[in-house]
Amino acid sequence: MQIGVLDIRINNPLRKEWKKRNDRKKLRNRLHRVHGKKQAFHSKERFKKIESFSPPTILSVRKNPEATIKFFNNILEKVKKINIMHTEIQTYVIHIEMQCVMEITEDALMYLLTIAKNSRLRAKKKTILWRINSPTDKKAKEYLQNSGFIIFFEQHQSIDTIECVDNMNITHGTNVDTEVMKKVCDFVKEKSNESVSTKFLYKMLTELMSNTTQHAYTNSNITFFHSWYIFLEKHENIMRVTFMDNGLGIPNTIRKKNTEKILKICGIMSEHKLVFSALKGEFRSETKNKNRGKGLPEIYEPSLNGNIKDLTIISNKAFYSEKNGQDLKNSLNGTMFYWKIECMKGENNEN
Amino acid sequence: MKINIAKDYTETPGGRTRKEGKFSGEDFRENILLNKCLNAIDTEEKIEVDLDGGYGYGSSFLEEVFGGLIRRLFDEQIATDKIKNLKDRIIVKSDEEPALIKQVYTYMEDAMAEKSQYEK
Repeated sequence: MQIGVLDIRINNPLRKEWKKRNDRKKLRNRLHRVHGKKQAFHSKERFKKIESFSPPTILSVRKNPEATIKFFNNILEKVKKINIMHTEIQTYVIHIEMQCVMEITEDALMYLLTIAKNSRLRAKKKTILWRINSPTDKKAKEYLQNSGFIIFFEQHQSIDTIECVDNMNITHGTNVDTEVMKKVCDFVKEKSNESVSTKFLYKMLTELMSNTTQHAYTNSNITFFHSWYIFLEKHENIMRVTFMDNGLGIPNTIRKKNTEKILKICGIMSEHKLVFSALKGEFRSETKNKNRGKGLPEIYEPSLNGNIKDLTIISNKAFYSEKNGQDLKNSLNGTMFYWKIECMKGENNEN
Repeated sequence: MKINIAKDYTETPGGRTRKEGKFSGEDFRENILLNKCLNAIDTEEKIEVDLDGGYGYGSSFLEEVFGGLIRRLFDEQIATDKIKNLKDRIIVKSDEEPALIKQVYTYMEDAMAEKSQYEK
């Protein structure tokens, strides 16, 4: 008797409808638990928007600063807008169409990395996904693959998990991290077959990290997280080093004379001259203590001694290199230092 | 009295202050150098600080250690003559980077001049 009643219930179309609804509800709850947020259940396509960006053919901050910085600033502007927009779209895909790119340098990858990292951390209510397609140019494609950036963007990994090839190294941190400095020096020594004395490099890194910790980030700077990034690459007999932070920039943080302050307000202050003045050791410390302001001259010194080559500094609109200095039209968000170390076997780079 | 920073403290010195991270100049001065210097004021002993063996020294680390030491002794209300006397008994050794020796003495001289001026 009871079995018959159950059969009737199971075959009941109303029950079937209820069962279907209930199963869907269970699935939805399961997805909520897995992803930890409600939007995971919604149809992704309906709530996804793709924003495409085309980089310049030479994607390099030091070789093609104006176009490259402008390109990255456009992305940054979009990321900022996405985070404050009130729309039902929950997922944004930033697609970088790299097909046309003929040359990529490490500094451009660093800047892209910092933008991507910060967009992921800042976007609490919305999801920003990054897509990069490979360039058609063989060299550029190989470079991008070797750096591990394609996988980093596709799989949305953290910076610590970037797997680049053996002759590259990417690292980041917040304070004056002696462990990282040691690792960087050991990497340079290993790749140069111990031909390079790294004492000057250790000094430079100490001052760069110290400057970032003390001056680069203040409470008013909320676009980027407090961090610095180092990219090392051994290419033939050259070690390329890029150090970057997304802080306020040297022109904004060094002490300025009253006339310079006025010129800056009027927008006619030459930023690269300010940077050069700080490199030369003119009293520019923000702290106004006489025992300070030695960091930038310490970074500049190995360039004068010949321990490093091609020192290039880009900070906000200031562009300083050994060959020339100029003010850019587009402003970099932060400061980037680039230099080369020659790793010839048997060469003595001691001070 | 001999102090070898690489052996007695760290091979990887950091930045200026403790806030900046591990193995800072401030930390070395407060934990190691200051006590030895305070003892040496009475004993009139020489202090040899050996900079060899480490990965390298940032100027901020050295300034905070040696310039900071002079400022700290003035803050401890130690007589200017005694501080000057102690400064002359600090011997800095650096075979690997001889340029650091002059740098360190300049930091101490500058701190001394600044504090003496302030005291007057």
